[in-house]
Order: sequence, then structure tokens, then C-alpha cells
Amino acid sequence: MAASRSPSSILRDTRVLSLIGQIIFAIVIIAALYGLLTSILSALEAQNLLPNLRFLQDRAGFDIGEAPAWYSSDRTYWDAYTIGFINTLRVVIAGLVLSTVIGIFLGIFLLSRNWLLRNSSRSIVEVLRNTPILVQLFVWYFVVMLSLPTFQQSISLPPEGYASLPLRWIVYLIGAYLVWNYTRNLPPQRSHLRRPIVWAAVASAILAEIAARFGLVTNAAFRFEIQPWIYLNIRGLAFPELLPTARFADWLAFVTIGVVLAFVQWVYLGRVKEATGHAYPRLLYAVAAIGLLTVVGWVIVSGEPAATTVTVTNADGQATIMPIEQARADELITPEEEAVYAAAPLLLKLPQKNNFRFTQGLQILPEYAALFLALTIYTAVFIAEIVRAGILAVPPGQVEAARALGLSGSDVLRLVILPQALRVIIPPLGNQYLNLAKNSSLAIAVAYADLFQITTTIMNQSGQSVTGMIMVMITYLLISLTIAALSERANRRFQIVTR
Amino acid sequence: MIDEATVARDPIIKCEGVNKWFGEFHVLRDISVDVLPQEVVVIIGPSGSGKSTFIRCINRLEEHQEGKIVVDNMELSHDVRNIAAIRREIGMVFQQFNLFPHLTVLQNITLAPIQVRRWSRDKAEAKARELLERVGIPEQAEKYPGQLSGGQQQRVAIARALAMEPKIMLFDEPTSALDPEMIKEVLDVMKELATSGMTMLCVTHEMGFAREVADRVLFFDQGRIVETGTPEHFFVNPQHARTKLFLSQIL
Amino acid sequence: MATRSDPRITQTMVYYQEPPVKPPPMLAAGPLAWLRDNLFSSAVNSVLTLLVGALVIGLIVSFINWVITQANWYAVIFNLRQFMVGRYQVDAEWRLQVMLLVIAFTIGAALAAWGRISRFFALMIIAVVALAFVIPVAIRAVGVMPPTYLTAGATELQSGSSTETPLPNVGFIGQAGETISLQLALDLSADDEALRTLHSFGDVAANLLRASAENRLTNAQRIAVINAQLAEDTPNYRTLTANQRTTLEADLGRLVVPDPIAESLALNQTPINFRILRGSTFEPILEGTLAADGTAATIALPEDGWYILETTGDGIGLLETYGIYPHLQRDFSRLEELDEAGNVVNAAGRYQQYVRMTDGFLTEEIRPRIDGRDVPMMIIIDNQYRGDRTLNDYLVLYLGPFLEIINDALLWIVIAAGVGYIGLGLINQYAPVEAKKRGSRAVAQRTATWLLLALPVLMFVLAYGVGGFLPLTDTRRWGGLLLTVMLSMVGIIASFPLGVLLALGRRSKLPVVSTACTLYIEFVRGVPLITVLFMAQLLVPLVNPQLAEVDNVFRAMVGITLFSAAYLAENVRGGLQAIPPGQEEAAKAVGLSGWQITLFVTLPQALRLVIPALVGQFISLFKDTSLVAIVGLIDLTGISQATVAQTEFLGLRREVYIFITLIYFGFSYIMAALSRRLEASGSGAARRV
Repeated sequence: MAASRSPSSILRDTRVLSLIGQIIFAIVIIAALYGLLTSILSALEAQNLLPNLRFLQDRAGFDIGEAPAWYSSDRTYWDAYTIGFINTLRVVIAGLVLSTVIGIFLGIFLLSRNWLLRNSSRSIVEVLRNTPILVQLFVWYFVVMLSLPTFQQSISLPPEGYASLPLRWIVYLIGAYLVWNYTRNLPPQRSHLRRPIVWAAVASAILAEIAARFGLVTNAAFRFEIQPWIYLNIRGLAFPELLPTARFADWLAFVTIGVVLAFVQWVYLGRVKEATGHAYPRLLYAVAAIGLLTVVGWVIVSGEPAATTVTVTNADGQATIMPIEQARADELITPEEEAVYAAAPLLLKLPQKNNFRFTQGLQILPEYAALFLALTIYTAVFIAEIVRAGILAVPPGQVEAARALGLSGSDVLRLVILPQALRVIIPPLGNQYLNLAKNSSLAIAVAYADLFQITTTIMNQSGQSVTGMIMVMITYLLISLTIAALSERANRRFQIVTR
Repeated sequence: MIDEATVARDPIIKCEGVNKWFGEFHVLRDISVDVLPQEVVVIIGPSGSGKSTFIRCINRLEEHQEGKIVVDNMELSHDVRNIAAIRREIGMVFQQFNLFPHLTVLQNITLAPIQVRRWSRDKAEAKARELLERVGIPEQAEKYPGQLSGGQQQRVAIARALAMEPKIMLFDEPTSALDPEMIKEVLDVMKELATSGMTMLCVTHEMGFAREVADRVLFFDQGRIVETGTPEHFFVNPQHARTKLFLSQIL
Repeated sequence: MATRSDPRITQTMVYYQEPPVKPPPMLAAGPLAWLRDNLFSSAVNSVLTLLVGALVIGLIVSFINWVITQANWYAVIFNLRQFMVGRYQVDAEWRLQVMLLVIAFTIGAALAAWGRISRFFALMIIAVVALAFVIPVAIRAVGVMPPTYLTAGATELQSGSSTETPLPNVGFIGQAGETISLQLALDLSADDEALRTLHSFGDVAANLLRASAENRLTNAQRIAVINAQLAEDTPNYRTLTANQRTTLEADLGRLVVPDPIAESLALNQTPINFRILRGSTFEPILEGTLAADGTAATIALPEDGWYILETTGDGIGLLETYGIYPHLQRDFSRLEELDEAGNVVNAAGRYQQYVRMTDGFLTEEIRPRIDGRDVPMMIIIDNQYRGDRTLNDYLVLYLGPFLEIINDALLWIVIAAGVGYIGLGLINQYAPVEAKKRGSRAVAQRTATWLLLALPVLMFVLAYGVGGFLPLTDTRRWGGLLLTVMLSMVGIIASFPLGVLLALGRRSKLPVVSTACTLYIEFVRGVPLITVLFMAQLLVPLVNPQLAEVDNVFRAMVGITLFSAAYLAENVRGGLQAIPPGQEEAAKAVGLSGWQITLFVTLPQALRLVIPALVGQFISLFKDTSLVAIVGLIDLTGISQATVAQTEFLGLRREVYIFITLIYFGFSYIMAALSRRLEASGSGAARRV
């Protein structure tokens, strides 16, 4: 295009100039990086610590507090690293779920019409988001977790002991239902009776309670023993374990059929509604389908004839099949193994403790609990603000317009407010998820065996500190990129198409 | 408005076979047009016809992909020096004013003369005050753009463009974002500019202005020039069916 | 439809009577209406109000109760310096005081430029400062210093697994003119019920007495309760599970009720002989006998320094003493100090300071030795406050001394801020009229802007020093709030140019540049800060062996800067994107070149837009600097961890965490509030198109 192509005019061409600029930039960057790298590498070489990955196959030689049974100090560094990664994921994923739930509730509280609720939530949010998460973590661990009672004096939930349900409370319930049913169907001309009837019912219940105090009304009650589901003490938290038995798969098949049925009717009746306008109670049907098949499946599966033989592996690794009675008599199977042959497809193992330790149920360590709580609550506070902002971002005119169209309260929320609020909520929410994942590296402050903590141990033992840090950084980067990609996908789904 | 002496001169803007695409979309199709010094050209046409894109190509806010644009004997190419020189020769006024909100009116006008023309601050400010006088708002010099009305902002924008002492002025729908009562004050300034002998290219929907001031009217449709002529010809006796249709819709 | 002839339509009506203006009904306005609308608008809401209200009130009451009766604030009061400046050199401390005044002055100036102090607010501040001076005086005048309980005698005390013998002599520090008084605590030794109510400072043996009385009584009570529970649980009507029953029975087997403590020990039944000796000369200044008839001995101390209380007796006595309080020992080392004549003023080496807990009285006199051994002293570890504190004791022991420590600083800060406020107001008032063309406060605003811009530089120079003018300080001794503020301030300022460059780079049209910048930004944003800090600690010495000398504080600063720059870049990029494309086009059209457009048109606007986001980033950086505690720096968080590891303050985590939480919260909240106001007032919104 240029009329004359003298050398000077080539040097003035914007395309040439930008190319030259980029080349210079690239050279400068590469030179700087090269300089840095060579000096780092030569320094490491001097210490005989050139980065390599061979050390990963060396024996780890340290124990991990929170590790699956297969890990021992004889495993390799790589195994330890994997466990760290899994432990990080455990805390991050659980944290993501719970922080979202708490955040949503807290966000709604921040918008509550109730002055007290709104302002107390506001104070909590302000305090928590304006203090460092590290300090919060210390408080959760050193102040909360470590001042829990000793093992012997564990807090149990629900409290151990007998509970009684007085018979008259059942009478009240029935009475309340009758009153509600009667007053609901009162013809308009007698609607003025509604209030007196309700008051009379309440008053008679109060009278009955007072009379019971003096023994005038029976104190007879249903009594039952309460087995605690949760134990809380300085060593952590114990909670029930769901143990699938050998029949679990059979039962799962029934449940799957139920879910499929529920889904099919949901879609089909949804089409019917769109086509004819006739609305069926789809949710009810879905719950019914799943519930029915779950129960029926349970009954059928538990009714199957019990297994009479078990496979026992002896010390040489040789497997023999023998009757259960014999195995039990010879103490060849443990109670846990025997549970696999139980009639029910799923066993609920409540935590049991003796004087020193828990004998069944799942446990989490106080370090995990502290980290989990700190991450969850800290993130939830930010999510609450995001949810609040998202809901406020929907112009009030939208709600008014939806109301004017005659949509019901829940429909306004579901069809108008939420889709618009989500559009505002999702991008910053993804950011908070990222922060949660990155903040999980603070585990080192309470010695929870996460990726970063285990890697620092590996670094100290093997001396491969630079390699270790690079591995950790890359792993966190991968986690971050995954979360970012997922939130980007969600974001794209909810964006409103505009010009 | 063109006297005999100028007719003989070479065109100040020469466009030959200019083509431009936005992706697959062919925005400008074989535009060839010459503009003479001191000529006032008004470009009209339906929205999306490529008229804005065309004048933005003239000071290289958009890049054309084929053809040749020569302004004041300099060809628009990738040559940085040419681009800078051509932009110095051409002033532009935008639909959305595009004043710099963080600078006062005076700073808006003096920014380019000081930074590009290397004038002293005193000289630039004297020139700016003179221009503000010319566009009729000398008292607003210390204010920020946000404190002015739309019409005043557009007049500041014209002053800002004139401060570089350009040979050519481009107007990209300068009155479209204005309230009706403010359009007149801007058009008055533009008329005054036209009578002073400035070369002007205006994209506008103000047919009254076109009729009164233009030396020539270009009618754009679908990326090409459909009809051109004097305002008398154009408004009284349009030839092309599209021109007729367009004029019947807006008049 | 009404027809036109309908008289209801066609009839003309004129109303001459004006309806009266009435106040709204009771429930439509006023406090009752507010209550109904905000707290009891529906049944659910009322229940919610009651529940949340009960919870909030319960929490507040139990917190205040804890603060008064339980919390031990000595960990904070006696480490206040560490919390504020760490181990910053004492000889350079004046620089930090100047820094504080400069900050206060600038805040005052900024308020004069942009804010306004209402008369009410000014009066409030004056009232707060006045109260900080008046309250300690009032507490001194009205409050009573609690006694210290010391045991004396030859009997060995035993309770459970612990055994204690009263100390025959104990050293304490006192001030000239102070009155010491001693007597037997007869009201406490009456019986165990009385003994368990002991609440004040007491030595370990006294606490053992209190604890065993307490134990005996609670054990007896617990046994009664268990027996009642077991009796209620019959085979026909179970109230306990098998598990609970075994636990209770085991408890019952373990619980022992010893003989009454006060009686069996014959507490305060035998006379106790005592002497009070000067610590330096061992000359007795008072001696006598304390007997069960309630005799008391009193003496005014002749001079500042060490004293020894020596006690002997056959049985065991519980002494109620006034004027003897526990103290804290601080160890220092110093260089030799010479006076002008070249004589040694202070010898080099280690020396001790003894600080009394109750009022901060301090002596450097050497601790007396008996038989070649240091005399046991009233050290805080062994002589802590026992039992629940009373309100009087809380005020006398904590609130009064604490206010006395901080009220001078408070006064200076307020004065400096006031000078800044009034000074700038005056400058603005007397400035030439043409300087105020752009607003009535233009001069003040310009001055305050310069002050604000200069402030960080000034702060850093004051804290660190500058070659040839102020000697450099040792950053390894920086700590506490000083380190936290310095790290976040240097972090945000140093990362600013880098962040802006990265943002411009990422938006660059040159693919190589934008890719490189994007890679850097996304990499840093994808990894945790703690890894970057570790990397900085690790790599800095490797890059160049000379850099191994660079201390941890600067390495942390490098890490924080590199980290912060990526986030800052994203903020700035957000601002750049928010600028309408017309701005750049207009700038091109007037002939500005690329860098001129950035420098004069886009960047100034973008930075103005992102100020709130930058404040937000500063807040999160301020919080994030706490992570340097993990890499071994003693910032505010690090100091708190170090404090609770000291024997004197072992385990006082609650108090320490509450204190640093208040500091972090105070700073962040004020900054956030300022940024919100900045956003709401729309600084320069009027200027935007």
C-alpha cells in the first residue's frame, strides 16, 4: 500500500514496529528469566540439590496424622504427596458445599425485614470479614477445639439417656389438627368463631399442663432410650457411619429404578403441563416413586435368604469357604467383616466408645474440624455479601412487574428474581471458591496434613525445597484453574443475552 | 461557498476503491470520492449503511483493507509518521462528545496542542480561550465536562478539535445525542465554521443543515455511495429509487 | 354505567369545611410502630425476634461477665509495646512516635479537606479523651486495691497429687511511701465455705487451700446428686442407660470427700512471726507476730526497691496482705553506656527489670540473694489472681492501669489531628481567591492530597531510616502492628507501578506482551500467598548469594509485592475496561500518540474508577500479611503466638486474640467505611459524563 518503500519507511510501519517491540520484549523477558534460572540452578548445584523428581520414589519416613490405612512411613514421598492432595480436596470440597449453604442463609438474613436479625447478622459479617482468616483459624483451633471436654466427658448429641414423650402431648397434636381442620372449613358467616375456638383449644392445653403438674392428669408417657449420634471432644468429632453390606448393590438397583421413574414422570408430566395446561403434583409423584421403591427394595432385599458361608483368607493368602458359624466359632472373622453378611443392605453404625477410644463410627480430627470451620465460615461471610448484592441487584420493578402478571410469591422468586440474581452472583462466587481453595493452604498453621503441610515436611526431609514448592504451586494452580473453568461454564449458562 | 480559486486546487482527500470488512460483513464497498479544500460534504444514509465507518477510516480510527486514502498528499498506511501527521491535520467531533471527564474544559482543549504540537501552556490556553469565545462558552473554561449541558459539551468538543488547527473537520452525527433545544446551538457553530472556509465532512440527519450549508451531499446505502450531488439536486430531484425512498421516510 | 343525567355525577358540590390535621394513630408512627414494623410484623418474625434477642443478650451478658470475672488482660497490657512495634530499637522509638503524630496530623488534614467534623463529633472525641484521664483517677479514688493472700508456717499442704509448703521468705518490690499491711485472713479461715470464696492474688499454696476447699464441697455435692440419680433409676422405671449408670458408678467410686480443710489444718490457729527486710541490706524494718485475735501490722516503705517478707510459725497461716503484688521479670541486654567524662553509667550485659503488675511500678535494683540463691519472688506465674474477679478488682487492676498507659498517646493523637484539621482550615481560608476557582476547598484538598501521597514515604523513612540522615534500623526487630502496617503499605505501593504495567501489558495489542502478562497474572492469582512467601524466602538467597544477607522482612515484602501486583493489575484492568472506547478514539482524533493516550486520558480515569477496589485490596492485603507469621516473622499475629508461649502468659489465647482481632477489625472496618463513603459521595461523579 505504501507508495515508497525506502528502508526508513519500513521502520516506520506500525506492523514492523510492533513486531520489533515484541521481539525486544520477549528477549528481555527470556534473558531475565534465563539469568534468574541459571543463578538459582547454579546455587542449587553448589548445594548438590539440583531439582529432580527422582526423590519422589524415596521412602517418606514420616507418619501422617490423617491418612488412609494403607499409608505408613515406609511408603514413598509421592504417596505422601498424594495423601496431602486428597486431604486438601476433602477440606475444600466439604468447605465449598457448606459455605455456600451458610452463605445463602446469611445473605438472606442480611436482607431480613426483622431489624434484630438483620443487624446481628450484619455485625457478625462485618467482624468476620474484617479479620484475617489466620487469626480466625487460630481461634477455632486453639480456643474452640482445644477447650472441648476430654474424651471421657464427651458432649453427646442428642444427649445420652432416656427421653419421654407424654401421652397428653400426642392428644394435643391430634386436637390441634382437628381444630385446624374444623376452623379451616368454617363457612364465612361463622368465621368470627375461629378466634374463640383457637383460644379455647390453647387455653385447655395450658390448663391440662397445669393439672398434670398437680397429678390431676396422667403423666403417662412413651419412653425410649436415646443413643447419641454425635460425640464431640478434644480429640475431634465422631459421627455415624453408613456401612454398605453385601446386599447393598441389590437395593441400590431398586432405588435407581425409583429415581429413573421419578425423572421420567417429571419430564413427561412437564410436557403434559406445557401441552395441556393441566398441572400434576410432580414433586409429590417423584417423592412417592423414590420412597416407595426404596422401602419395597429394602423389604425384598432384606428378605433374601441369609448367606451361610463366608470366604476366609488365612495368613498364607489362601482363601477357603466355610460356614459362618464355624468361622465365628474359630474367630476367623471379625464383627466388622461379619456385618458384611447382615440382612439389611445398609447398616447405620452409630459411634460407640469405650473408656479410651471410639470403637465404631467415623471420626474427624480437631485440626480438620478447625480448618474446615474457619474456611467455611470465613468464605460464607463473603458469599453472604455476594448473595445480598445479587438479590438487591434485581430492580424492584422486576418484582412488581412479576406480581402484576399474577405470579405467586415462590414463582416470582424462582422465575424472576433467582435467574437475574444468579447472573450477578456467579462470577464473584467463583472467586470466593477460588479463595477458599487457596486459603486451605493455611492448614499448616494448625498442622493439618494438607498438600502444603505435607510438602513442607517432604522439603525439609529431602532437601528438594524448590522442586517441592514448584509442585505445590502447580497443583494449586490446577485446582484453581478447575474451579475457574467450572464457574466460567456456570456463568455462561446464566448470562443474559444483550446487544 | 466555493470560489473559483479553490475549484482549481487538488482534492485534499482522495479515496479510491476503499473496501472494508468487519469479519465476514462487507461494510464499505468500493468507495471512491474526492473532497476539495474548503468543501462542505454532508453524508446521509440509513443507519448501518457504513457512513460513520467511512469517515472514521479517514483519520484511521478504523483501518481499511483495500483501496487507497490520501489526505493532504499523505497516504494512509501503516506508517506511524503518516498516521500521526494525518491525525494532526484532521479534527473530529463525535456523537457522544467523548470529552475527557477527568480534565477541565480548558485542559481538554489544551491537552493535544501542548502534548502533540509542543505549544507552550500560555499559547495553548490563549488559543483555547479564543476558541471557547468562538463557540460561545468562554465562561465555562474552569468547569468539568460533567457540569455542562449536552450542547455545551459538544461545543467544547468542537473547540477541542479546532485547537489543533486542523485543515479538515469530521463530524460523526454531532447532534444525535442532543436534546432538541440544544441542537441549534451546535449547528450554529458548525455553520459558522463552514462559512469560515473549513473543509468539513459531516455525517448527520439534520437535513436543514445539509440543505443550507453543504456543497455536496453523499448518500450511502449498504456500504456504497448510491447518489451524490448538490443539495439542490439531491433534495429537489433525487434520481435513485433508494434515495427517494430514504428521503420520503425522513422528510 | 352511570348515565350523564345521573345526579351523582351532575350535582355540583362545594366543601367549605376543612378536615382537621390529626396525628397518626398510635401504631402508624413513633417507637411502637417502629417496633411493630421491624421486630413483630408477623408471628414468625416475633418468634425470630425473641429467639435472636435471647441469644444476643445471652452472648453479650456472658461475654461481659467473662471479661470482668475471668479474663486475664496482663498478657496484653504488659506486652503492649511488643504488639505495637515488636522489638523495635528503644533508642529509635521517638521516630515511631513522630510517625504516629504525622499520621494523626494527616488524618486531621484529610478531614478538613474532604470531610466535616460536626460539633457533636468533636465534643465526643474530647469527651473520650477526657474520660481516659478521668476514669483512672476516679477508679483510684473510689476503688480498693485487692489483698494478696500468702501462706506461712511449717505445715505441708496436700491435695490430690499436689503438695505445697509455704515459702519462708518471699521477695517483693515496693515504692517509697507505700503502706504494707499484714494480718491473718480470719474471715476466710472460718470454714471451707468461706475458704472457697477466696478471690484475689494468692500464692500457689493459698490457691491449693482454696482449691481443696472447693473440691471437697463440690465433691460432696456431686456425690449427693449422683446418689439421687441412681436412687431414681429403678429396674422398673429406668431413667439412665446402662452406659450412664456405669459412668456414674465409676464417678462415685472416684470421688473422695476429705476432712474439712480449714479445721483439720487448724488454719490460722497458731501465731505467725514475720519480718520485713530491706532487700539491699537485709536490715529489718518491721517485725512482729500475727495472731488469731486479728492483730494487724502496718508499715510505710522507706524507699523504692526490693523487700523481703520472712515468716515463721508452727501451724499454717493464711496472710491477707496489702501492698504486696506480683510482678513480671523482663530480661534485657544492653551495650555499655558512658557519660561525657568517659565513666561507665550502665555496664554492658544482661540486666533485669521488675515490673509490678498492678500499676506498672518498675525497678532495676538487683534481686536479693540469700545463701547464694535468688530469693523466691512474687512473680506473676506463681501468684496469679485466683477465683472469680469482682467488678472493683477488674476496674482497679485492669481498666484503670490500661487507660493510664494509653491516655497520653490518645491525647497526643487527638492534638495532632486537631492541629492538622484547624491548620488546613486556616490555610484554605487565607489562600488567594484565584486558587479556589475549582471549589471552596480546592487549596485544602490539594495540600491534603500531597500530604497523603507523602505519608507512606515519610512513614517508611521514619521507621527504616535514610542513609546519612536517620540511622537505619534493624528490620529483624520490627514487629507487631508496625510490621503489619509496613508490610501492607510497602506491598500496595511497590506493587502499584508493577500492577499498572501488568494491566496495560495485558490489554496490549501485541500478543507476546499480553500473553506474558496474562500468564504472570493468572499464575500468581492461582496460587496461595503462603506459597509465594515461601518461594520468596527460598529463592531470594539462591538468585544471588549476596542477597542471602537480605533479611526476612524484605523477602516477605518482595513476595507480597509480586503477589499483590497481579491482583492490582486485575483491578486496574477492570477500570481500564470500564472507560468507554470513545475516550481513546477522541484522544487519537486529536493526534495523541499511544503512550500519551494512556498517560493523559485512559489511566487517570481508570485509576479514579478503581479507588474503591484498591482500598478493598489494601484491606485484604492488610489481613493477608498475617501469613508472614507462618514464615517466622513476628507481625501482629506472630507476636500473639509468641506471647501466649511465654510462661507468664501461657494459654491466654482468648484475651490476646480478642485484642488483635479488635486491631485488625478496627483498621479494616475504618478503611472499608471510608471507601464506601468515597463510593457513595461519588468522588468526581459530577465530573463524569
